[in-house]
Amino acid sequence: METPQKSISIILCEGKVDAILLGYLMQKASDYKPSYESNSPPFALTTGARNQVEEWYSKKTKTLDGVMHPASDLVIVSVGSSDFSNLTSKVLRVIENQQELSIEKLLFVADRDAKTEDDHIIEFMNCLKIYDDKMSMNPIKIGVWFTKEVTQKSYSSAEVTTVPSVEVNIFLLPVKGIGALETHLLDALNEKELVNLSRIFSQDGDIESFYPPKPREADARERMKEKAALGCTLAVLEPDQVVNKLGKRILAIEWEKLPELQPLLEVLHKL
Amino acid sequence: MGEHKLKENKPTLPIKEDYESIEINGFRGIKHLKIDNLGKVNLILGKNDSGKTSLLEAISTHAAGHHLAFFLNHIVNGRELVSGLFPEYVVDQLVNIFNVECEPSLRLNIIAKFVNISQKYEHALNFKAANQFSNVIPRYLRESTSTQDFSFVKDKNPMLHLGGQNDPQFAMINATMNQVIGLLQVQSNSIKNDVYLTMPSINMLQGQAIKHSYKPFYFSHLNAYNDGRIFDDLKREDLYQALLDNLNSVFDPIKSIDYFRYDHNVQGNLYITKQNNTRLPISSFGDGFRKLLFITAQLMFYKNVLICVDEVDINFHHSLQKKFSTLLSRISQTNNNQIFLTTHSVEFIDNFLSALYDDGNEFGFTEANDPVRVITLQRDEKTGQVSVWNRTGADAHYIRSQLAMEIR
Repeated sequence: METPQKSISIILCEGKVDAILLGYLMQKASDYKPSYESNSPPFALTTGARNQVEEWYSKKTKTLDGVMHPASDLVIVSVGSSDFSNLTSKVLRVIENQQELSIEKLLFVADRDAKTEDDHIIEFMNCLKIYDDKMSMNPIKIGVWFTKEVTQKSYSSAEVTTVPSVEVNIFLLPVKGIGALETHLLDALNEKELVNLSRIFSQDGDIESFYPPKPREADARERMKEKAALGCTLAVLEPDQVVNKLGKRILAIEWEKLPELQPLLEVLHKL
Repeated sequence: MGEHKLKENKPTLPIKEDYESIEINGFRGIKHLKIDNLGKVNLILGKNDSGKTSLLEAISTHAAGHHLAFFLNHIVNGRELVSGLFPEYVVDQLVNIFNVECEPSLRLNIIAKFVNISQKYEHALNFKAANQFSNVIPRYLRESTSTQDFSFVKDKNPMLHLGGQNDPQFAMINATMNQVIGLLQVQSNSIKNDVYLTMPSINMLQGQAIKHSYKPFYFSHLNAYNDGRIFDDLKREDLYQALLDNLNSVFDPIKSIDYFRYDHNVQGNLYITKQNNTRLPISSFGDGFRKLLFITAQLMFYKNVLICVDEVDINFHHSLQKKFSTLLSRISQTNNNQIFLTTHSVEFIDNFLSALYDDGNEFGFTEANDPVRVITLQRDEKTGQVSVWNRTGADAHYIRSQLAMEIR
């Protein structure tokens, strides 16, 4: 029986937290679940460096025989900064060498507020050799899918060389303004006052003038400051640990309903 | 400036250069397959029934050229061990060399180009049909329920001399080009049909191999360790100590390899003496050591030849595979032997590539001079078409070590 080709989408993002949060968002926005095949994925991009994470998800579909089959896989990879070029180049090598895979979509999520934004987008496009082909004649629009043709590396005769194409998209986060993916998550929390407090805590602002403590809450406010300080410190020290441990809580946040997040969800729904 | 013409290198047979490309049409399960840019060491991968063994058979058939005994003994009858060869059985096997779906039926050809030689060499086998019936012969043989329906008429064929029924060896056939070497009579609906098999048609001198080839353990690894004379050959070439050194670089050290002579002056078994002077017959050693022993000896003795090893990983513990791969590649470079290996084992692939390309390896292959090819055959189950992934060894090493991708 013919082995069906496995359709795979790849999301590259810059930070670990982005990769993890996008994974939670994909679980809510689509039917992707953390993949049981994570121990033996069809390829590996990361090298175990501290700022790299590689999370695999599968979307299953029910077939006529009643057995659940994987319809597609998704891998979300944080590429970091130090190894950005190497890791992104690896994506092209994977696409060039897909024998029994079908890499269909590639999404690069860049930070809108990062100084390196332009550099990373240019580097991403260079690594994918996007400037080498006719794409240079047709400027790329951020957030819009475009087709990139990849000639598979083969030293054999032309008749067996195939040219797969992959749909590519470059998206900036947050969707609007300055911030990060976390901005959308915080915006979606019901505890607006706490979010505001936390934002002021973390920015070392004058919290008492913005939110004067209610009577007999001064001590509690002081304790809250320490909690916020602890949370901030740990979240900065071990961001992926913090968000991973809070998976259920994050999954309960209905950030997929935020109007401002819809442009991102439109892109993610294509995966 | 004067015009410089490329000096045509007119090769003498057998050819010493490596195969550069091979095109196979109508051979066993391969309808059509072309592989360019072959290497000195070619690792052939692919699923079961993708055509790996057929590729080795086809290239060996080509190399054998007019050396038809090799073709009949090792290709036609190479996949099964039978005691007693009946003409009908041989012809049945011969018919099955041809791809059943190819048109025209009962015709195959293998076309090869060698490095630095512009001329191409075609090796063709045809059934010369008495009538159109020959086109259905392969299917007919497979669908026929009665063995009475066809017979091989050897009396009418003076060119194909079968040995006795218990003798698996064919005599060397000294036939001329396009001469009939076999006649198959097939009876269908009370009508007898004659189908002739001709000698291969090759643009070269008759009666010679195109390239010398050797296949140490082609289809049955248990059936190959019988060439004890190879040790005499190596001693004559003053390569005996080098053989021991090579063996000792992979396996537990041994001191000597000798034939034991019985009291009544009859040559006995091949014995291996270990470093501690323990002496054991070769039959007491496991398949791994015996395979290492004979393949190393053969690789060291033969020069400028084609060597095919099917399922190369079989018998080797993973801890020996790197050392074995290093040895294999080193000797092939030294002796200018072109090697084709097949395997299903990802462990062997990784060990092989690691031995040749990891930092600190002894070879120093660069992108420009990479002599290794990792060739994956993929059969499209709908069309039967075999497609090829042909990667350099360095590419394959990167894909395995950095991307952990499946290349089998």
